[in-house]
Amino acid sequence: MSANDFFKVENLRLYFRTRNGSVQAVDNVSFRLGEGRTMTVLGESGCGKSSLAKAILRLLPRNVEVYQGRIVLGELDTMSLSDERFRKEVRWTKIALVPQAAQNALNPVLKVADQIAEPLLVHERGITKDAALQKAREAARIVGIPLDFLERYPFELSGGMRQRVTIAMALVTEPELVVLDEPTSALDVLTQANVMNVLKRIKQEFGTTFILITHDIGTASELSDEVAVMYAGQMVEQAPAEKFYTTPRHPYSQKLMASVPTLREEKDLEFIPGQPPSLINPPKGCRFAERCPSRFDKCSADPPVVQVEPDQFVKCWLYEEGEDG
Amino acid sequence: MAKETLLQVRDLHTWFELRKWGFARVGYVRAVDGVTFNLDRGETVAVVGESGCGKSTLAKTILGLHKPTRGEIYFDGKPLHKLDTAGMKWYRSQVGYVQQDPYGAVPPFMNVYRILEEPLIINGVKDPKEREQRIRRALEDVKLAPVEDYLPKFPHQLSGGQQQRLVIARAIILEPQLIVADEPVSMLDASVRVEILQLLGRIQREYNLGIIYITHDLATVSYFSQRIFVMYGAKIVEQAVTKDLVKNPRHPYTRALLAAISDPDAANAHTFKEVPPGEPPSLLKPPPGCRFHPRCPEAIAGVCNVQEPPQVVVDEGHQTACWLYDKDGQAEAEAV
Repeated sequence: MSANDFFKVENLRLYFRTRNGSVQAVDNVSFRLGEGRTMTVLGESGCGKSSLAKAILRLLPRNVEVYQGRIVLGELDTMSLSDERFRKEVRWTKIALVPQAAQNALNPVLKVADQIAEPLLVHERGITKDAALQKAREAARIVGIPLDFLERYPFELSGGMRQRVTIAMALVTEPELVVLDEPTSALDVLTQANVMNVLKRIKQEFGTTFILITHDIGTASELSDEVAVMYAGQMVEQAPAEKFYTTPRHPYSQKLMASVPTLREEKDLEFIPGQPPSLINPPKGCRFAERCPSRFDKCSADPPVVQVEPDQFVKCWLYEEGEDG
Repeated sequence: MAKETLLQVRDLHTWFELRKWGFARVGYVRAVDGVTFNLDRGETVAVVGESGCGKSTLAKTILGLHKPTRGEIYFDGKPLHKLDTAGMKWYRSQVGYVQQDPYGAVPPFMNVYRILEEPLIINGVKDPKEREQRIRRALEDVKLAPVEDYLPKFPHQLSGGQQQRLVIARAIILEPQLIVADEPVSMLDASVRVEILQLLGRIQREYNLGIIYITHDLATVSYFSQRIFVMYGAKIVEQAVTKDLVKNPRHPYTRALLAAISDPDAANAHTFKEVPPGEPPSLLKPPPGCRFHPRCPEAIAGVCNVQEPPQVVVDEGHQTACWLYDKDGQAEAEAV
């Protein structure tokens, strides 16, 4: 089973302290991911999916109240490391991040080649500038940046090219896991398809493990092996992509899928009335109960995570004890 | 039901002057370059295209926010360029604008009541009682109910979907005949998008409004509009009835655009998408001939890169600007 346990997150919690109380951005999230596979974390704004990315990379703001749980990459329990050791041994060398909207946050006074080489110079001790630039060229080739672009500045590049630069920056240190936070949400349709093609090729050629965080369910299907759905700080469903896209189990996943317009097939679109709960003092029971069409008495208590199939998990009372859909 | 033309756009050009040192003219950005179409009362057309194709400039020119460089707009039979100040004021009350970013479109220091009252005051609704009535009705129309709860609220107390509904309420409060919606749902979550689009559709049917729906998201378009215009490089390259365009796209660009959209399906993970190489053209120096020819897989050498393609009617209500469908052009290509 070790192949399936390449990356493990157990009971991860990340709460932020605010004036109004503590915000439970990531609340008791657990999942595991096999090597070379891609998990998509789906969810709407404010559901904690970006906080999950930050928690995995330990890129935390100052107002953290609770940060606990277990994160295991291969054999390494990264939560047990000190901040300094985490920075030296894990961040970017083992786990890299393509932050949200990073294509607009490139350093405007660095040439593309220097920008891509920067993570190497920061995170790999003793590497020479020349060796770093050589590796940067290689990373640029992999993501499809033409070589003559390396001498350009970010403002001379289109959005899609800049996004490739941020992906190259994440790949240049040859990390074992890459977390992509909304890598295509600011891009045009054709550019989006291009970037997804690049990611797909990297996945096939190098077997990189990806966690793709997005709200775009259609585009996510381009890369997903596994799908996890987050709602109000919690993971409510985790399933292989084939199962998720055909038969989502959690009522929220079902409603979410029903709200996605499709081009090739006609269906009646639905929306989910109401709003997600506040993450300050969220409801005690199921957090989706208030908007759920199949709510019943039990939903006022926190639902268990039910294993409906060997690889499909749902946090919902409906599936408890063989009351299978 | 007889169709009645609400808006006529004739050969519209909106160019922006580029200057060096503040006075030396160095060229024009041709953001809208020869657009012609009609919009019927009660009809929704979607303008689809990538960023930088000129679709927002088209919207703003129709709204009267940019002055067209050339070409005419007729609203309800009246030419826009001949309207005086009072006429423009009337026109602006007849056209509602739903902005892209609901978070930035409403002033943060005004509450809901004040935001909706302002257009009424400006347009001379003097009776405070009537104003209140109309504000209440607009809020009910956009389903911000119970109205009492929302009137004193400030924008930051509303969710994204509620803010967008407020923006829609503001757009319809003067009872316009036309609404220009510039990416009204692109900033919203999937589950809220459908709600807002259905709301717009309902308001449209109720008041028989014309809607120009500007978007880059072809998937929502097919649910929400009767006709689609595809824009590329500041021109409309294809226009057709929605179903026809989605099922039977003619222009190579439209085909590429449709092919690039992913429906949620796990099978997508196993195939690569075909994407035309290159980038959209610069609107400062657009390529000669067809603007898509440098990226087009079917470009006819000696034709597409030389002459601008004609508007060809390929089917009833289906037009495309492409040499592939022009008989003379085809003959020429075969001869080459």
